[in-house]
Amino acid sequence: MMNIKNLHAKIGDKEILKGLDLELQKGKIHVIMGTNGAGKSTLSKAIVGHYDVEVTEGEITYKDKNVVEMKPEERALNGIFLSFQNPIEIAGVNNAYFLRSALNAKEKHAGVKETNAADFLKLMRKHIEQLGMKPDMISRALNDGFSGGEKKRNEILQMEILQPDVIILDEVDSGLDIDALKSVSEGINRMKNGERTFLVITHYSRILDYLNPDYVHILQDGKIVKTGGPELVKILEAEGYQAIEKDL
Amino acid sequence: MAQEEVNKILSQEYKLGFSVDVEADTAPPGLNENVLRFISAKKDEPEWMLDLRVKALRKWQTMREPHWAQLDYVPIDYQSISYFSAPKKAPNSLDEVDEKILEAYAKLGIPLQEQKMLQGIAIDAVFDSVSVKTTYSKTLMELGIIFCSISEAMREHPELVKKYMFSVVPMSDNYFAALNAAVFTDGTFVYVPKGVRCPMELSTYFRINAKNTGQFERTLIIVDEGGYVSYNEGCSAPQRDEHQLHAAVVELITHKNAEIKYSTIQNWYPGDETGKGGIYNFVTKRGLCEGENSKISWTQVETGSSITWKYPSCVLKGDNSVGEFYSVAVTSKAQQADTGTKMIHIGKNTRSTIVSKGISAMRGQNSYRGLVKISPSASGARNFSQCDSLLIGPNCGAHTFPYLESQNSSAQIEHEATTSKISDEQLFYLRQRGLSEEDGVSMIVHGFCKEVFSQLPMEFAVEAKELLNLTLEGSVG
Amino acid sequence: MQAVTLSLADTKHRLYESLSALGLPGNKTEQYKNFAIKPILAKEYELLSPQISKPAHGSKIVIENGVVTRCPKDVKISFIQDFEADEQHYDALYFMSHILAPFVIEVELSGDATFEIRHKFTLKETLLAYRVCVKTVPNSKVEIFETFKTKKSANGLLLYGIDARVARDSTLRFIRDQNAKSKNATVIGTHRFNVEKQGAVELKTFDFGSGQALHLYKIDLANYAWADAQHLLLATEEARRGNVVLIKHNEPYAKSVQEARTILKDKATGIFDGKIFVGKEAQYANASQNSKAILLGESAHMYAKPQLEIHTDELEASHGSTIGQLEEDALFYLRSRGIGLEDAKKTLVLAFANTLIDTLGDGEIFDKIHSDFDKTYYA
Repeated sequence: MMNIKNLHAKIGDKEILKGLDLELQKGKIHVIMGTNGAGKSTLSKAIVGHYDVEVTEGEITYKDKNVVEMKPEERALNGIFLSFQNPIEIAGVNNAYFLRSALNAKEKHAGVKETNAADFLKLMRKHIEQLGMKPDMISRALNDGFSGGEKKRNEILQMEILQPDVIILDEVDSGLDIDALKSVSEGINRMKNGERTFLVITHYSRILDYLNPDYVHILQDGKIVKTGGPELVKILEAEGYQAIEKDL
Repeated sequence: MAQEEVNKILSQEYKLGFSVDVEADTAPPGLNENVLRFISAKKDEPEWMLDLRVKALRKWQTMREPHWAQLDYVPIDYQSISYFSAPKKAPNSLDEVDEKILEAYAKLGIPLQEQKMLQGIAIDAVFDSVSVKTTYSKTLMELGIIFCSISEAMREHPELVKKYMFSVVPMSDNYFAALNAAVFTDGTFVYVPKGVRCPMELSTYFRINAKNTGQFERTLIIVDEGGYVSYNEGCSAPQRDEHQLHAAVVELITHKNAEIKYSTIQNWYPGDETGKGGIYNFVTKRGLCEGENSKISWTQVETGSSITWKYPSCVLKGDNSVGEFYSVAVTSKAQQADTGTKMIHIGKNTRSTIVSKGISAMRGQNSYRGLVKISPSASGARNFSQCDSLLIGPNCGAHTFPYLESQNSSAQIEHEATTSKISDEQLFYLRQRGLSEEDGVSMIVHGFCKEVFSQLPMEFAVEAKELLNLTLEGSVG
Repeated sequence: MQAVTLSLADTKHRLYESLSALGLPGNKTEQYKNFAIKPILAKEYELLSPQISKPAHGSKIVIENGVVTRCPKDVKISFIQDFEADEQHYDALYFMSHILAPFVIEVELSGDATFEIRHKFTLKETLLAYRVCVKTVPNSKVEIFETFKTKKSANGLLLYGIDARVARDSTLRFIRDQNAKSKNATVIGTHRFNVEKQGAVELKTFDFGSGQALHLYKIDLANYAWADAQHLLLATEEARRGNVVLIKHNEPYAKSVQEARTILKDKATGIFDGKIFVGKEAQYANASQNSKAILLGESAHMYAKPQLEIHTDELEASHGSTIGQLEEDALFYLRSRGIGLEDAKKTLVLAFANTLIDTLGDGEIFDKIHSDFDKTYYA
């Protein structure tokens, strides 16, 4: 579904991704693990076109197009979604208003009728309840004053409403308590429909207990050095990243 | 952010730039006692008003024009301005108002026909220097509320005018106040009697039409004990090459337990990218909280005019009185704004709140200049100010100059200010959710201004938001 | 001031031009607002010019009333007549003191150094004008400690100043302990610190007591330069004391932090006029400014003007200013633990002041300033 070939990317003067190859398959959940600084966040930023990352070589093909040449909003309108590791706060911007605007932008792009305010509120309320979020999430300002757990749920809320096809979850489980983790995982699982692909970046295996990953990739020194099934996680837990290093 | 894209967003064409060809009665350019007589005669004023005008002119001739360091403008030639321009046909009812004028107002979206009013807003439209029929005056009269032009008030309610005019902004107050006192032509007069809450928004719409005329209106609003009124002032002007001067004076007085909410949405022609043309907006606005527990709040959205120089102020005389100032000032192209407020605390336990949001783009220069002064008598006074500036692009400027003075040990002043550009992170977040750069910038800017917009009466909040969009969004509407 | 006839060298002509362009300060001059400058300039003074004399050897550089009395071997002292002052300075009296001072004492350092600048005010109706220029070398640390001793009867005017060139990668720490008891002696210090690439200037001013004193600074910051200015003011009786500081970011990545804390007793007037200027080319500037004042006297008067003038969009700048009383909550907390109201107030005021005094670290200077503060506060 999305094919990343020989991706070289740098942040500032430092090259972080050094020829990364990864194929994200339709209907599958791909997990990326790796030590700090290996390039996991850089990979997610490269896919969505973050201004910090400069792609120097390689391509990311999706829907027959090289995504690297597209603006961030174009990539989003084409169905790429990133749940940020640290979602930023934007004071004064109403949460519901923002989300409806994003949904309308997507509908406009697809040539579909735009959801009106009343219908949108119904939709939002339904999802908020499902995610165990407080009803005032509708009227608060975007992430403004939200706790870590609230911010992550808000990211999943956006995902459920925007219905993207390529979903990147950057450490979606960090800082969550059990209840929040459950809600977030349920949200992700609800999105599994055999057509979407998921790229889950994580440090801890906790969330993997709730999702059923199909592939586990280890990112080291800017490249994918090993790919395996869920059993790879158990090995990592038991022996740490050195076990993999020895292997190579 | 690609700078060219942002510049496109900001330089959208001024939508309201058209003029109307109407037979006008225009005074020859120049400022002298004869012009004053001409104006006074044209308006059929009582003798005492002409005397006051002459006194003001003489005062003005002894004063020196002030110059603020931050503003840079072509000097004004006071003798080349015509101080009076009135459409020739004076109307008695809306039916008699010149068709072309009605059309001009329709183009601006201002409904003058009573029957067609959906919003229930009473409007007094000032076209060049004359108040074109005030709507709803009969309805208000039944409540004892006087809402008419200053000229009419001089004739019908001279005792009120004599008592209150110049009581808050005396003619000697500053250069432009003296000029205005001499040549003011018209404006709005409002009087709300004891205990009456004005049931509708009162609004005045100004428009400067004829070439080389300055607009010198004078507004006087008095609210007696326990009364309330919400008043809105909006403006627009056609595109002209020569600078036009707008030197208005607004005086507000609240007696015990009274309240005035004064909102301005200002969209004068800003001049072009080089700073040519555009309105000079030099205004003196002051509110006197004369009575205990009274309140005056100023809310302004300034997006137009070439040069803005105004400091709506509150003199908090009555104990427990409250003064508020909420402002969004946008400078783009080559606009310059030096605006802010003065909160003078005199009574005990007085409170003032200042929220100023400045947005500078292209080569705009935006300065906040505020004074919070606590006199020795103002025990227990409290002030809070928040002044934030948003910079869009590398060629603009945002400056904050607060003057904080306290002479009372039990008073408290708190001032905070931040200056930044639109956060790359915030903009990226919105774009990752599918919003275009233009929409993202707009959303963030609206969020930035939200606190101020929420102070506007609902009907005008919508207009203000659209005006902000107009000033910041890309394509011509 | 009586007319003074001076034969002016060429550089002094330029100074004179700058002075004329600005004009002598009056009641309407921004930086002198509330300082009552006019009567000071109108008085009659006898101009006292320090003499050039050879300093004795010592481990520190000591300058007393404009005369270098001690100096280490590796420091070069010159007396410059054609000194190039900062033509961009905003203050007329900066140029005036350069004109009136017969020469500038130029101190060229070759490494780390410690200075003591002492002022002893004992004379009446005299105007002492002198100037010092300090030039540090890269990778060095220099500390200047300035003190003032006044006799109650003194009523002259000290019009002096320091021009410092802080070389790249060097640090200049300037501590001023100005404890004044004379009501009639006036000090007007006009200074300029030019901080080069990656250099740092730390300014800590402690103004206590009565009398009239105003120090005006212009600090220029180059690439990655850093300025940290802290001002503690405890003014009493009918004092008029304060600081006027302009910090200019001229190049990218410079950082400035400014904190002013003022406590006013009796009928004192406190002045804090701080401006952070970020030029168009000074992207990625980081500037923050904070001013807090507490009025303890019924007729005390605080005048604060924290200003930001920003001409670039890539930066982080903020400022805050509060003037008022002690926090109700804090007072209550102390009282709820059994501390009486007056003692609680004193504790809070001390805590307020100590945040700045504590930054001096342990040592002689800390002890002295701490004791000066206590003496003034408990008087």
